[in-house]
Amino acid sequence: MKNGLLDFTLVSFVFTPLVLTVTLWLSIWWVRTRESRSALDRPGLLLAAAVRRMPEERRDWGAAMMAELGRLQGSSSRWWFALGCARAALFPPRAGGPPRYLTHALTRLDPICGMLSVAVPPLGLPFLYLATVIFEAIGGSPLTPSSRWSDPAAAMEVARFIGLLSLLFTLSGLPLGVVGLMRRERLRWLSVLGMLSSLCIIGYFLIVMSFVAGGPNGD
Amino acid sequence: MSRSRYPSAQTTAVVLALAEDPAAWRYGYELCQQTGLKAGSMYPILMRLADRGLLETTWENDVPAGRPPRHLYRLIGRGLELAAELAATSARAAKAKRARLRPQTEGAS
Repeated sequence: MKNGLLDFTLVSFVFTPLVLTVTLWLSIWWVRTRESRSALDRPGLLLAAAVRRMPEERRDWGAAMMAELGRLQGSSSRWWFALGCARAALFPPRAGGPPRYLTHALTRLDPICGMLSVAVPPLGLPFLYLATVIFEAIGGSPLTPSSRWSDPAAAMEVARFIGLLSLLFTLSGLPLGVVGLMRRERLRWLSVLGMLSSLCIIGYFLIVMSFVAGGPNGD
Repeated sequence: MSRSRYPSAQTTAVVLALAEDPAAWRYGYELCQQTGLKAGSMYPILMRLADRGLLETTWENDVPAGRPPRHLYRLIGRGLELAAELAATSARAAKAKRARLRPQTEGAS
């Protein structure tokens, strides 16, 4: 029980965040696309997902691509057009100076960072990634000027889900980490680091949630 | 200081396509078909042209029921000047190419 896949440290700081991150991503996707899912086919869903990641100053162009796709007939034409537009939406030409371009590039990389943080478990990183995902889901990326406060209903729904996740973290992740420490697991300092990150992030979630509960006017 | 850089072949194709009927509003897919460019190349070019103030954009007014309005584009001011310049350059290049080919053709006959 001390080693292998059931290692406490591994369970508390790698598997739990991994499962929660995937669940969170799916839930956010489910909430965000509830209306569009029924109206869009697969190329439309693909393009809609890419367009949602466009920086604020390029959103008009995303709407233009979606509108153009809405007029196209034929499965292959729609797929080719959607794939091309998705590429343009994910990597639009820079509108500002190099710093903004850099931050956009970093934001594009966050799924890769997420995968790396799970694949290479220097602990605490999965929690930090989870925080980035949640931050981006509620209020826009900390690295970009985009904001999603314009849809308070969706933000509230995501916030409620985050509340549940925070509770799960508190109920499962932290006690598991504490037990891991008491059992003198290997890499104890990483357990401490992971738990400290976890505490900070839970505190941060609570602050963000209270802000969200106040609605967009609480800004 | 604004940077003056000669546009790429793809950008040139888009500008010349828009300049064919400068008064007409054009839409993205139509331009893709006319120039043979993929959407992934077309939209970044349109974005850059609009950023540089060469392109005017608007949303379609008369929309068929149940369809989203299209984003429309046409060249303005400096865009039209650029189109004229590019057309002249293309014409000069084509003339020079013909001149290079002519002696070879005459020599062969």
